[in-house]
Amino acid sequence: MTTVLELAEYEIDSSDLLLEASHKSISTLGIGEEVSELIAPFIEELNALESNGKDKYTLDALSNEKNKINKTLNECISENINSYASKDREDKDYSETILYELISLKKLISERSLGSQSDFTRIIIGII
Amino acid sequence: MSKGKKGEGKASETHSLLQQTQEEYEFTKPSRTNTPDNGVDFTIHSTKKELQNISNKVLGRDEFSALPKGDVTLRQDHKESKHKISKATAKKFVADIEKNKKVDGHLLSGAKGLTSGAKDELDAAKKAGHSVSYLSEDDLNRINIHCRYVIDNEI
Repeated sequence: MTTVLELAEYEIDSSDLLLEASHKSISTLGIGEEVSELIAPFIEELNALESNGKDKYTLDALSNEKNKINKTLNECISENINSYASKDREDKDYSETILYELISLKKLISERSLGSQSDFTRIIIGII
Repeated sequence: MSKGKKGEGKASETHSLLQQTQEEYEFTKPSRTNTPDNGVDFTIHSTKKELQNISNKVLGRDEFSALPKGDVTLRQDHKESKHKISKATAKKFVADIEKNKKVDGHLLSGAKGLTSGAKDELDAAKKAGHSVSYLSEDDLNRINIHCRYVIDNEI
């Protein structure tokens, strides 16, 4: 089970609830257990309205605390780079996977920031 | 411990109990939790009749009627969540059908149910001719209880 993060756009209603029926996927990123645990403290619950327009539900999404998340990701990137040379081939392969996921996640966060937010839409990084 | 690893462990428990109580049932777990899996957390090997029997007997509904007759192979995508499975998650599960054409059926499991948007996605996949099933965390717990009863009483 990899965790899949999805950059997605939702319309919102007057109560700031995400409207499930309006969901548009922009891009996705699969991350493994280590990176998943790294971002766990930054996951928040967002309220949404089901497509039937009656029932509410909650979805997990990466918070908008971009600077704090990037600081955590940068620290982990530095650790992996600094210890890379002293590792054996198998551990190097693992480090490369982690680095790929961390850098891809930074890119995804940056894409969310660049996305065109409006009074009627939200761009989120949800866990699917 | 990550939520995913814990969830896969819980789902493995159900498979283990079914393997002990059903004649044909076997399962494999093709990857570790840190490996890209194309939506395959487990592969199930059983028969349509056996899966229908379990579903009818324990859950009171037939989740597997669209499977072909005889021996079947299913891929299972398990979601560990205290919430409902959303439309976005169901969309990805349905999109992964195309990456897994060799199996007979597709089982989504876990969480507290489906949102109406998620249900729409699964219904559309069924209408398109795919054998798609969903078992909630509660359904899996009921299967576990049933299997433990069978094991304890050697039925």
